[in-house]
Amino acid sequence: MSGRSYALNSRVALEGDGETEDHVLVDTHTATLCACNDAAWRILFALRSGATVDELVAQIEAEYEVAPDAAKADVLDFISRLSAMGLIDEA
Amino acid sequence: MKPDKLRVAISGFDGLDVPHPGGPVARALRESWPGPIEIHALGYDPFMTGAWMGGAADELHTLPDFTEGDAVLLERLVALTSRFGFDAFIPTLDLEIPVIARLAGRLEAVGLRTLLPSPEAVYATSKLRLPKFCHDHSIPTPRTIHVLDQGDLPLHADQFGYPMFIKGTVAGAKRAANVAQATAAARTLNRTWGGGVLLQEVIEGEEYNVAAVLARDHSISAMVSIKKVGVNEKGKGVMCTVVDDPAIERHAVSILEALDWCGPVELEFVLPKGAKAPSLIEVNCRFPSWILLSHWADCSLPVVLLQEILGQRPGARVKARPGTSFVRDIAETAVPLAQLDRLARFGSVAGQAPAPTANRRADPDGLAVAVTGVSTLDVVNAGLGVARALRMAPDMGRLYGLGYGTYDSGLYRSELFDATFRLPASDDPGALYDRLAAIHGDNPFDVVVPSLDGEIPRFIEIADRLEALGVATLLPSAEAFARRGKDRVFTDPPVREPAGFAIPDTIMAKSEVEATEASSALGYPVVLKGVISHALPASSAGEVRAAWSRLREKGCAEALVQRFVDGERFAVSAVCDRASEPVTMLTIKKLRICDRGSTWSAISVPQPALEAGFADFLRALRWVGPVEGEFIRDEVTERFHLIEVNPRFTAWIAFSAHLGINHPYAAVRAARGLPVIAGTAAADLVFMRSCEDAPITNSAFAAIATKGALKHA
Repeated sequence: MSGRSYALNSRVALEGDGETEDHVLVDTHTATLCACNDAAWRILFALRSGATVDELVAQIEAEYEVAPDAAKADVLDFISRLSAMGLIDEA
Repeated sequence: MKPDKLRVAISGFDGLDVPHPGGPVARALRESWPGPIEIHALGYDPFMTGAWMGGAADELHTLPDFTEGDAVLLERLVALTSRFGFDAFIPTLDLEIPVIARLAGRLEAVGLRTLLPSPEAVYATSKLRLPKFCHDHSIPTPRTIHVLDQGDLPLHADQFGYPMFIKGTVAGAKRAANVAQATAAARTLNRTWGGGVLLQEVIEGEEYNVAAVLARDHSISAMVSIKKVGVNEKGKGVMCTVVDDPAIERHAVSILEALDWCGPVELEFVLPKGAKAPSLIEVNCRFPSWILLSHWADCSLPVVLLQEILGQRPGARVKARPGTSFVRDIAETAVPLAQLDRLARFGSVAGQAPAPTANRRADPDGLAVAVTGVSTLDVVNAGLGVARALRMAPDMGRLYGLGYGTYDSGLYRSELFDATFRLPASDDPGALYDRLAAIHGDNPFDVVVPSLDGEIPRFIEIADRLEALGVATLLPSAEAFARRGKDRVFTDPPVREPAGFAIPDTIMAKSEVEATEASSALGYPVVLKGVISHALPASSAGEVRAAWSRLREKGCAEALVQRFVDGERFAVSAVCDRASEPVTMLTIKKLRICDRGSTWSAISVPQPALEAGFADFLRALRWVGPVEGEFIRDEVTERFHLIEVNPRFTAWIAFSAHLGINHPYAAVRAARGLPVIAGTAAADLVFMRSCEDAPITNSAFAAIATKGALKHA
């Protein structure tokens, strides 16, 4: 799974307000909103053009002081949730 | 010579809390038509509140009621077109569309162009005919039957099964959980619209609407889909978002292709959980009231319609930007009485100039104030009026809005508030204090003005702690607050026989049986009131049972049964200082109220005897702070009857600032121990309120939902 590449589905819109750092994922089919923290926002941004799990884990490790195993677990959990909502596709 | 400016006539600027689409259509054209445009608002009543808002219309004109016949309406439209040079007419009311469609050829002959479906097409998808249309085209739709004779309703309702929607033949719908509710709802709707009522199966699910413009060749010129994200008690979308769900759009296109249609149209759907295809609830032969959202989503359907009307075929179909959202709010203004009178007498008058751009710059030395009650979800909260009035005061500092829900529209009004915050939805006064203290820590304020009945006891409880924090309040004692409650003020009033007004006979009921017995004892009609809110009139034992059932649904364990007084409605707003002395008073007569009893138009009418009597009443009550007395003047005896004492500002209180006696400003100064200069109210102004949609960003919504705070740039 680590080498698989994922990309955001076209139904996803990302809205960010740079000034207040409020970031939101919008499911344009259902109008569902997900407020995103900084880490989620970085992953979503990377997924816009497609990324592998390994690439995402590396990015999280580089940005935050987090153990590799924890970073990978968090990324996989996040990918799994996005997948369940139909918001990412395997590239 | 044809003038350069395009002159467009639009109808439907009324509707109060269920707004007609004319105002949003006008605003969309004003903001997105690529060229000079003049808007002429047409209405059947001078009190078309939406048309009176600043900048809404260049001219206002009244039309004869279309029930007077086609010839009378045609004559008026031809005369207006000849005088003002209308180029196009966009009617937006369900009942007038078939009439205007019948007249379309003759209107076009004098240069007034429209684009409307034929009367036959409208009839084929009317509420009465929609089940057949759906059956013929295999379109899912809720089970619906038409009951013409009200005497048959209980039998049909019991056989149909509960819950159900009772719908009027033209508009209006009420959910009914039992036969008493169904019968009462049917009576009301049939009285309004005639032709019996429809019983419709309730389908729970997410609501989607699709608006479109179809060209003369019946092709789809443009289409916008939205989802109702926030829905109020009446089922109206108070927050909606543009979506691009291919399944919804495919379904909508197949229905639009089955319609024999040209012009604007709205399809209303509900998507049951797990279902693939949505059920078609209604087909409306006009734009929806949320149509301004299409403009914000860069696909202005009113512009597309006007282009089609004028024969300027729009270019490639533009797709609306998904994720674009609005929240429904209100706008208020004061109109010179002479202007209203001129419209009523002469049929035409110039519109109001656009309001000056709000100046939100705070006076660094001014008082900073936090205000609660900033929602318009079901009823218009008073905090919005308080904030508007304070914005009109001369030396105000920063202004903060405090709300409880993410759909509180005021939280997103950047022209009113410097920042907004969510308060805990908890009965615990400690939690309220902690949140206020935290907000005050980062954003200090001098005064807090609570504006909701239910929260005031909690504010009374923490007032001393707030004072120690440096935050002043102007609130009554807990005893005074309790004594003005509906459960005590009528049965144990502070003044037994007040001067200037009477206290109506009232009986407390704790069961349906007690309510019907009380009604029999008082004689019909009566009104049943919840202790906190809600008031329902009843003219028979059956209607009393229905009203009792409705109040129980709203969480009311008991009800006041009161003799119904018919007549004009008045209200007296006052602010009492810490010695319970009214420092300012203002009486208004209500000119337009919605079915919830909220005031949408009013005029100041000084009533010295009533005000003196109410002042004595407040002194006896030992009241401190803002308060509103609501009265009905008996149409036979001319005597005022007290119907409610509200322990806070009234929602129309911004009108006091327009009149030059700014009550919220007086309260804020009194709270800080500053002198209050009582003024004299300006005469001959009429208060007007209208619904107004405001665009919001999803990040702002998310900020309120997750962080409970939003700073406005």
